[in-house]
Amino acid sequence: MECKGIRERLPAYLEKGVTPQEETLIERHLSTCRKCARALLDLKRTGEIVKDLDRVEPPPWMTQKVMSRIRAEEEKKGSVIQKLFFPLHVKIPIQAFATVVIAVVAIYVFKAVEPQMKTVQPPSAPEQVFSKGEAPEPSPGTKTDSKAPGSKTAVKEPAKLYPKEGLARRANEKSKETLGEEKRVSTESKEGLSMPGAGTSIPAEPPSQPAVVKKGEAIQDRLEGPPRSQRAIPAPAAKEKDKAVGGIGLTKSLSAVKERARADQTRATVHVVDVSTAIKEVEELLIRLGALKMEKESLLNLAVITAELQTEKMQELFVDLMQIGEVGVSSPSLTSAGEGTRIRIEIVNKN
Amino acid sequence: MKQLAADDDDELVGLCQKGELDAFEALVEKHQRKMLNIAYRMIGDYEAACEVVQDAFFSAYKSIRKFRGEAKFSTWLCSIVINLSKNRMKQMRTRLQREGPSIDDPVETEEGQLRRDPPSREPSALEQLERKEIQTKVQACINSLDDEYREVLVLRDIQGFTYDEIRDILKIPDGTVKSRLFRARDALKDCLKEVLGDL
Repeated sequence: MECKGIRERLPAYLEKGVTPQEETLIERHLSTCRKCARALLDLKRTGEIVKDLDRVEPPPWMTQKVMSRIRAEEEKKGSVIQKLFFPLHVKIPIQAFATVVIAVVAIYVFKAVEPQMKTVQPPSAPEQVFSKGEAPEPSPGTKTDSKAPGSKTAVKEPAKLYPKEGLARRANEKSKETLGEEKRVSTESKEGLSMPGAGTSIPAEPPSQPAVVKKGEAIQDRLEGPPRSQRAIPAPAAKEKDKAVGGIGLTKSLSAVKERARADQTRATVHVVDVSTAIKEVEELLIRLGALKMEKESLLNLAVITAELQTEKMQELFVDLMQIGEVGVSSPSLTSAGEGTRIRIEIVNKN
Repeated sequence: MKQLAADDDDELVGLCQKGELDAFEALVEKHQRKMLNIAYRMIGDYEAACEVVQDAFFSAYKSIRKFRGEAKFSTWLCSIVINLSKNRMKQMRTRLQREGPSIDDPVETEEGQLRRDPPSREPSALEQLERKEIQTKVQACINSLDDEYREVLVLRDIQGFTYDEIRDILKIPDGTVKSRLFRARDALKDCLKEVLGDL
């Protein structure tokens, strides 16, 4: 081993940190090499010098100064309230973080509740009750009237479902659709007159509804002609009433009905207490008698059922109609009935 | 599970953890000298060493509740002193590089830096003078060592810590402790030979 290698191992040699083989080699080399032996002596001496260094003494105030500083720190931490307050460099980030968390939670809660808030909005105006004058006139006033009890069934968008021109035609088509469904008709009739296309029932019209009664009178006046003392509404007033409920379109539909009535062969008017029930009964009667081509038109307090019936069954029909209500034959053409006579039955509320 | 180190200071540490300031004062009295010597030999400046020791004790008190007793209290405290000493040395070097030598710094002579004499127990004035001169030079040579060599030299050759204790203090393996120590001694030897001549 060369001197360089020996000298590198001398500190370990002094610490007994070499292998026995290395120790033998080193000792053998030291015995022959003065420089390495000198290096070993220097190393030993260095260790002695370092160990011999004086120990410094702490100043007499060291302990006192340390404890003073510690006690001052303890006093700062002192009260429970002070413990709640961190240093600024801790408190401010915590407060900022808390503010951000609160803001995020508030936004999240608002977004979560927002849909519910929208659904809890005050109920919108109920489906527009289609009254005689309302359907063709999408005016705000119609909604008020439509809420009146005894009004006709609401429609969602009267302007769409009941254009002014086609009100009667549409009513006729709808009545044809529902005519074959007895149960549905009976249900609707129980609940009151139902406007075609409305899809909802209307409450049974109370007997003491002057507005409705007056409307019925107006219809009756137009259809039958002779005024009734109990329903004294002058024509202009009736017209005004129609207008009040948006009745221009309904007036047109009544006119259409009147036109068809004039073209009909036989007319019978049945005055009943409950029009809806009477409708059902008349339909059942006609079906039982074998009537064909039945059509139904329903208006406020008025229903018109037309059908084709054999002349021989007419008498029986009228007899049975008398069981339903007061029957008034308004057409003299009854006597001239032939086979397959077209009959028009008008069911009117007698009140 | 690590075994707790047998420590005469266990009782005092326990009281400190309960908030007994008197117990901590007793610990300060017991260990301040040793800690100061470590800091002084590391930094080479007495005043700076005093400040470091105060900071070390203050830091130890604030962390006393976290002390688990896995090592001796003195070992734990020594780690704090070594770390703070190294920080202080970095600050001093940085200041020296930025500001240059200060008028208050010790005057550098041909033999080495003359530092403020720390108090010692040496009685003879002449011997004391010679002795201090030598020790000043020795300290200068210690200061010239790299930090990692200096700390093992101070702990092993000056303070007499065992290799296991040095390993716990510095958090380095046994082999590293020894290798650094051997190199530190070799380097110091070379420095002393230059400064003092024949040893």
